[in-house]
Amino acid sequence: MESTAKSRHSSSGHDSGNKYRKLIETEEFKHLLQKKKAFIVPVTLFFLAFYFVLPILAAYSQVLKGEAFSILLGLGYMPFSNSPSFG
Amino acid sequence: MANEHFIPHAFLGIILLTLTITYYSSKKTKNASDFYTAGGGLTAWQNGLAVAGDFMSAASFLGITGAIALIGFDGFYMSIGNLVAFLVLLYLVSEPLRNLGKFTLADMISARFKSKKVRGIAAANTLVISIFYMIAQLVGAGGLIKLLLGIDYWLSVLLVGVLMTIYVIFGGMRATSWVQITKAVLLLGGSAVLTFIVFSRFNFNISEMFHHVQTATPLGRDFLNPGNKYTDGLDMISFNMSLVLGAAGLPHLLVRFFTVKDAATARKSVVYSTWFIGIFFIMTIFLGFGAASFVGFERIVEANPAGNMAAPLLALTMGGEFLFAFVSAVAFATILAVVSGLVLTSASAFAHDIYGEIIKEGNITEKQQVLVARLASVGVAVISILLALFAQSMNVAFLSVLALGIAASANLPIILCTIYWKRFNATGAITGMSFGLLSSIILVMLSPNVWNPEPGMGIFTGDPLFTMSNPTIFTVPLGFIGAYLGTILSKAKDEDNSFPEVLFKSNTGYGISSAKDH
Repeated sequence: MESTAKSRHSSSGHDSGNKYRKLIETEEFKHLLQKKKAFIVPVTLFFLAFYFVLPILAAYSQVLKGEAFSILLGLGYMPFSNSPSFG
Repeated sequence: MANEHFIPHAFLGIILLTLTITYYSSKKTKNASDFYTAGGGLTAWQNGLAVAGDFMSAASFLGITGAIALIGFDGFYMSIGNLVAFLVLLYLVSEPLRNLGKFTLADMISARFKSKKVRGIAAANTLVISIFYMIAQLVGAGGLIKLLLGIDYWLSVLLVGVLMTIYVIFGGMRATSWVQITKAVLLLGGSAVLTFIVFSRFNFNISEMFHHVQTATPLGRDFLNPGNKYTDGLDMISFNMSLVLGAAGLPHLLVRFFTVKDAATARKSVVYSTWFIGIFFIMTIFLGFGAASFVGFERIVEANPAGNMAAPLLALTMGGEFLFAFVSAVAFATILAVVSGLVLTSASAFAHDIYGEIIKEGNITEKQQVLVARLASVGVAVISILLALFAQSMNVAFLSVLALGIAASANLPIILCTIYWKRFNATGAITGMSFGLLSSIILVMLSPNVWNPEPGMGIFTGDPLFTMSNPTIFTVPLGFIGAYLGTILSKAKDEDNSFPEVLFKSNTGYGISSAKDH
């Protein structure tokens, strides 16, 4: 373990910097990154927005003041905000 | 309540069970990687249970059940915030973290910036967050065990403190994880039994349950409506924000991703834990409604004004003394499991980051590293126990607010910038973390958590200068602004020139040590 710690320190020189610079320029890596971004960015933004709609509605509107509607809606929030679609 | 005769046996059972786990773990804990990360050998579902266990703290089991029983809808926010936090964890943080780091959160940030200052501040943040969180947990635990077991506050804190130290010193992360896993199973099982009983009383009919709670509490029909607790909208949104973003920056949760073998397993474990937590929080609704209906508002408040006894009292009402003892013992196990994770995280930050990498510059043997980590565990535990004893009569709710706030505003912006922002540099990391840390501390110190016009409600009596009880909505942007300004105002570009390396490694896992190579 000690040796891995040292090698990590020494690998931060300019030579390896160039190596990684070349690696991230490869088509394969760019493709991977693009695919990841296309999934992660919209999904994260959607769920954060979706989530904050609940407290915002609760605070600034009367929508949630219906009869028993609030908790049912809240319950609806759980399975939706909780769908792990990749892993 | 204190002389229910099953309780001491149930508590003793938990103590024996956890000590047995520690004994077997200690036999396998030989080097630093065993101590800090259980050798990286946990499977996805094991780590998923452990992560879920960290979320299902005594505060969520007892606190959320009580909150739902007493205030209805508003008590429910605490649970969904945690769930969405997992998406942030899953998609943005867990994979890069596992790919870049070794033992601690500071490792990951130092993978990009070799600066000792950056590592030092990251480690200091970890220590501050974990110790604040631990004091809040210990004070809560002391009060609770006093209530359940009928022993003095100081003895309760000492009991929890000594046990958590034993787990960590002897069993390291392996014992900490397995205690957490065991507790998660017990807690899920206990909650499921209670949920089943409650649901059966409502003839397995959800709408009957919803109709019944509208007449069962003093709040009447408003029970199911928002606004019973949170009257200031902005403050409530801020509170929700701290739950979502704070969870993704809590060091004791983040280190759990080092206990699995690779990023794919880390991702899978988040999926498992999301399911466990989701199921658990749905059950807290049944428990809360059950307590509101069958225990009754007055009995809950009489036992504990904050509602913390709602779940144990529900067990007593529905299942008699045996179930009461079981649920109480599970609450005890919950406290033990969470605080031991906090001790381990603080000890790692001290032994690995501050002592090993900053003072000794990495020139430290395995044996020394583990020895220092054990000593640090004792040190952290002693300090926390003393502070918890001192804080007995204080309202320490602000400490959890502070811990989550710092995690959200000092850790999360830096984690995200480190992984995703090319121009980001060491100065930006330092200013970002400092802005987030200081703004959280200052605003909480000026808030109603600390200053309250009514004596005894806060730490000091007086009008707060800052009127929101949760400042996260301001401090998270401040953390990002600090990171941005520090970066563009400093002359140096990314000194280490390591963004390509970090980008490549964080996305591919290239060069990480495999789990079973020791």
